[in-house]
Amino acid sequence: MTALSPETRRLLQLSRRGDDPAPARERAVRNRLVARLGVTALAGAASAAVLSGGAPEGAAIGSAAAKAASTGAMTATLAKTMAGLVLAAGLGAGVWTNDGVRAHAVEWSGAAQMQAEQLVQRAWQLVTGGAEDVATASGSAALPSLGPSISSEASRHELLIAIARRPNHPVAKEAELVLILGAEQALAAGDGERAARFLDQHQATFAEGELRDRREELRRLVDRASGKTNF
Amino acid sequence: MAEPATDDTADAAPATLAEVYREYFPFVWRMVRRLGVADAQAEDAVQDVFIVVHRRLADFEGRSSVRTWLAGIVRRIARDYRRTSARKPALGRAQADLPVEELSTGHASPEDNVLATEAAKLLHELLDTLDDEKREVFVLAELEQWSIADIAEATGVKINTASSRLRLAREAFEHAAERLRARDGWRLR
Repeated sequence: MTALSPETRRLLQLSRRGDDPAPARERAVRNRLVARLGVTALAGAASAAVLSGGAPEGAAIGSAAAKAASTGAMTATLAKTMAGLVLAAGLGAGVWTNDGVRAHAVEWSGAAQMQAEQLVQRAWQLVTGGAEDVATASGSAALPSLGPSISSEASRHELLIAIARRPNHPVAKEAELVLILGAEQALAAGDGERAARFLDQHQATFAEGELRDRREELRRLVDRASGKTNF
Repeated sequence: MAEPATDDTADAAPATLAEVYREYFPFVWRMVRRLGVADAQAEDAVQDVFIVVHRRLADFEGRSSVRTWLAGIVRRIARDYRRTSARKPALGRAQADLPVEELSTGHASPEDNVLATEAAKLLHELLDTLDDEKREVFVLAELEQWSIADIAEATGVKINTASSRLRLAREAFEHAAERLRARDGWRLR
C-alpha cells in the first residue's frame, strides 16, 4: 500500500473532527424527519440528545426531558423541541408505517403519567417564560387527573389543543406536532371522527403550517377509513 | 464522535429507525459531507438517507453490518446529490448560516473547532480531486478507518479491487496534497 506523507497524515488527523455534525444540524434533520415520517418514528432518538446511555421509550423519555429542562443543561429551544417530541412519545400509542397504521398498547405507570403531566406543564412554562401555567392557559381550574383510560388521553389532547389555539404562539411547531400526533393516535385507535377533529383544528389554526402535507396525508387516510373515498 | 466503529459484533441489527438514527447519525453526516455533498445540501441528503432506512429497515436481514448497509445507501444518495448539484444551486442551510453557539460539537475548545473545520475544508478540497470510486474507498479507509474487507463489502467489489482502488486513491490524494502545499504550503503544515 502506498504510504501517505506525515503532512498528509496530520491533515487527516486534524480534519477527522471537522466534519462532525453540529447539534443544530442534528436537530434540524430530526425535526424534518419527524414532520415527514410521523412523530413516533423518531421518538426514541429524541432522548439521545439528552442522555448518552440507553434510549428509554415512552414515559422514560418524558423523564429525560424533564431532567433536561430542570437542570438547564439544554437551551430553551432544544428543551422546547424535546418537549414537543417527548409529549408525542409519552402520549403516543400510534406508530406510522408507509403502508398504514398499527396500534401499540402502552402501559402507563402512575409515576410515568405524573412525569408526562409535569412535562406538559414545563413545555407551557418554557414558551410563556413561566408567566402562566398550562391549567390557566386552557381555561380549566386544575390539571385533569390522569388515568390509563382513553378518556384521560383525550383530556390531555384537549388541553394541548387549547395551547395550539393561539395562532401566533411561538410554540407553533410543537403545537402542530401535538395536533398531528393526536390525529395519528385517534386514527390508530380506529376513531376517525376524533382524528378528523384534530385535523380540523390543525387546518383552522395552522392552515399553512409546516405540517400541512402530513395533515393532508392523514385526511386522506381518515376519509378512506370512513369510507368517504377508496383511494 | 469521529472514532470509528471497530467491532462489528456490537453492530447488531437495530429494531427501529430511532435506534439507527441515534447510533449512526454522526457517521451518516460525515460520510455525506466527505463524499462531496455540499454543506447547504447536507441536511437534505442525510434526511433522504434515513427515509430510505425507514423504508427498508424491515427488509434488512443482518447479512452485513448496519454501518456497511448504511454506507451503501449513503454512497448512492451522495452520488445523486453530486450529480444534481452541478445542475441546480443549493437552497438549503449551510453551516455558515448557523449561530456561533450552535456550531460547537461539544468536544473541544473553540480554537480546536476552528482548526478542525479549517482542516476539513482542505480535506474536502483534496477529496474533490478524486473520482467517486477512489473517493469512497479513501474516505472509508483513511477517515472512518474501516478494514479493506468491510470496504469491499460496502462498495460491492472484491477485496483485491478495493485494495487496488485504495492504493490509487492514496497516490492521487498525495499528489493533490503536494500541489496544494506547493501553492500555499502554510495551510498544510
